[in-house]
Amino acid sequence: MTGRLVTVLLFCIFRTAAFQAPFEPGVPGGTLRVAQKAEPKTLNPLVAIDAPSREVIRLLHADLITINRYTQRTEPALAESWKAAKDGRSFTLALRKGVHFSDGHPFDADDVIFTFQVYTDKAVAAPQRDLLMVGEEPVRVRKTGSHTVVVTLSQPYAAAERIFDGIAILPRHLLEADYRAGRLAKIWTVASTPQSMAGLGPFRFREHKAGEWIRLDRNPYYWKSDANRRRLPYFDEVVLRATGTEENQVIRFLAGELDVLGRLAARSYAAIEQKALPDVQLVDAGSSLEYNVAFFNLNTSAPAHVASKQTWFGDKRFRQALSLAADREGMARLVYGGRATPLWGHVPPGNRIWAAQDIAKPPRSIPAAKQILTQVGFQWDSAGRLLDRAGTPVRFTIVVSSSNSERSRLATILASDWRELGIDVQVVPLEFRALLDRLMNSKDYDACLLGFGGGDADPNPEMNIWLSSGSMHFWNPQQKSPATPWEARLDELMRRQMTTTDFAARHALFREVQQIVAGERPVISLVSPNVLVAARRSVGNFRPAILDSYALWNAEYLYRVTSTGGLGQITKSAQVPGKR
Amino acid sequence: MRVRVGPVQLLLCAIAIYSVFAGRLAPYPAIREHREFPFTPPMRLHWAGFAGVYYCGLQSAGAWRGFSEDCTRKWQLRFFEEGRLVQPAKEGPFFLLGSDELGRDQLSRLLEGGRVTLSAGVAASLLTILIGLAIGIVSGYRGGRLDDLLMALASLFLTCPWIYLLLGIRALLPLSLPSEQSYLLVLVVAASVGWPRTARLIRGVVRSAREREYVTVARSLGASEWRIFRVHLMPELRHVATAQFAVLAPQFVLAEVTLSFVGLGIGEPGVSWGTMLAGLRDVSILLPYAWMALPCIPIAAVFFAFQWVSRRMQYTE
Repeated sequence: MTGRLVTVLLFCIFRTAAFQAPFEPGVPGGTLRVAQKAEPKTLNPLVAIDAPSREVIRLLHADLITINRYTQRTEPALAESWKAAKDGRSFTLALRKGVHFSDGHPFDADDVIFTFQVYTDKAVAAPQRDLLMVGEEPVRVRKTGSHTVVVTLSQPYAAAERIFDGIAILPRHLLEADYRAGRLAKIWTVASTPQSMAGLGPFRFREHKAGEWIRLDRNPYYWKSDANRRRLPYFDEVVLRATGTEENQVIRFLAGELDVLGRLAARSYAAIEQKALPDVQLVDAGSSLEYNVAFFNLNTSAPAHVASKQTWFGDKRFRQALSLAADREGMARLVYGGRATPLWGHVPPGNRIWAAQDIAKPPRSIPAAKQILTQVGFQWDSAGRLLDRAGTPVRFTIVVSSSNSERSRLATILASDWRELGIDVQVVPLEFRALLDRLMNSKDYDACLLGFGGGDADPNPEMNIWLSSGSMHFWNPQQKSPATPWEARLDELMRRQMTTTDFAARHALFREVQQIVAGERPVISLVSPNVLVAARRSVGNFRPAILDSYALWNAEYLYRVTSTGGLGQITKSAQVPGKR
Repeated sequence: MRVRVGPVQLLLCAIAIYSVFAGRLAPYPAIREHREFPFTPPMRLHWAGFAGVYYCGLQSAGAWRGFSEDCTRKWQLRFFEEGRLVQPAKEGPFFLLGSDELGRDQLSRLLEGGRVTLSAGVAASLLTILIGLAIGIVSGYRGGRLDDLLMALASLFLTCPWIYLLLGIRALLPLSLPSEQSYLLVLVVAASVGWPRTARLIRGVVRSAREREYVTVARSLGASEWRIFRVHLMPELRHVATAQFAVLAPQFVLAEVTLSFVGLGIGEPGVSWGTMLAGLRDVSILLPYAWMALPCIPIAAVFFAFQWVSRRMQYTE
């Protein structure tokens, strides 16, 4: 009875999370001007790893099944339907018929076969290959009809349909020769000609001006249409300007040179908000999937001067006491101007489907923290310094990325909180690569403040963090066997949830993972910043989401709203650079 | 040579005294946070006749939306209590020069930061001059191969890319080194690397002086080398060293600011003028909260004051 009730409740939560109002029909025409912090390095989905490149590629290509950024659920894209086998190891995908690439060439099952062959080919070394590995084996795709394919996995995989999101379907007719010749890594650069490219996305590459902008044209063959059966996208052009820094983005946005600003820092958001411009819409989409955490070095191979401190760090009650002393509300208010959510568990509330609601949220309490430390055997000297059992003053450093000013400020506050316990804590900002080197290679650090998450809402992409053998299990990575019983339990739960296809059962497994993490505190969760975006009011259907890409995930539905009645006209400030 | 005691020297003395007694002059400890009052603008003082000086409470308009004065709540500012010049009320904070992002008093941080920045600038300059004097005197006095070797070494040091050298040295330092120590160590290294110009100058003065007629006469009359050095060379070197100090000190004050700006200076919870300005990398802070740039004023004052002193010395030579 209780199990059924839980299932019903989960279903209700799931349905609530999944609600999304339909997009209003727009009017065609116009240019959308978007800011990018840097210019894309490539237009090739097989080599792109930088955010600007991936943002452009998402506009040029389509996938078989996509994750709706708003509902966080999967929905049909180039595969109009799919059916899972009872054993959970194979899926039959029915592809859309009558779909054409942006160069007019028809799309069929051969393109899908070719695409997966390329992505899973070790020699190509595509960054997506790891996502397509299930149980150490790549997914297999075979054709059963001109528009039907069967995808086979080596083992059951929960939410298997999510792995298709972001896998851009490639045009076999253009790329097969390059693939056979081993030239795929060198094609589709920003200097390539538009004629050499084709995709199934809403836009197609038109022109690139180095260091300034990249221009995309509407794909006349795009396969999606609106409620009035009008072919999408609405905008004729998208211009993505490389602005360099976020300050430049804001300045150009305020000057009317940009329509959409992607994810903004809280400070920039506040700066635009203070202007109170009538033609600007600012959206706080709520808690993101990103979570900032502090963790201690529990590596068994840490240098001797760190190992001497691991007696403290390795004690769960020490970590719990330090967690109690952290002023999470203060961090959200002081660092993000209140546009962040304090965290007690590692899954932010923005992850509406998976965040456990029953994680304890004890309020900040220095006396309670001191009481725990006393119980463990710590004491204080006359100067108020915290001493361990041996009388050694508790002193350590927190490393943080110097390039992330918000995270540096979080570290400053956290260190100040811990000083109230009598601990001598120093913040050491390090260049990000130097920081990673200490985390991954030398293991020479005491504590670290880092941000995780931001990708998919599903737990599976974070296997690498929570499995004790994972390379991103930072506090003690790549363990041959779990160092602690609770890590062994985490391994078991994460592996089971990965292969459990029943949602309620999987939800219960991951809930236990969250409870273990919240109890053992291998990471001290701090805050999750909100997703903040800005756009001109003249951009219709603007509906930012907390998943990447925050503002442009529905680019095909965006349109220009004009008050003069000239629907779709380009305003003066919207003139495309370099175009008469 | 005499340096007249003018207003700028007095100002420098005042800054030095302020720095030495910063703990007493500052209304709060530099690291004391008032987290309910981030980015508070400079507050007004109200005069209440014989009742003394008071200040009003603050009304927040929301996170990052500023504060307004709420004079329904007033607190008297007390003086010479609890070992401090100024003692704000415990019920409500007082920020004469505003507060920073964590609600730390800018005035207290300015005073405490000045102590660190100025002392570091002075210490690094003195060290540079000491090294420069030692090497310059030996090189100029001994001449020959040793002179060639030392001057070649100076040339080598002059070609060093300082900032990369400092980045490398900081990376080699252990993380757990207290930030003040690591900062001083970096400055000591900076001074050690900065000696070549001073050494070359001193060497030139020594070489020139030892060839003068009165030195030759003294030597022919049987004066010892030590006497010649003490009586005839030292006075000239003292002038040069003093002038060098006036040139180097503001440079090292600026060096501290630069190092802190690129993250190589003193770290939290330490405070210096450089760390106070480092936050201004975020332009969106500077525009709405202009008082965060306050350390620029004493830095500029120190720089111009030292420059003025060195010019005056030039004219009074």
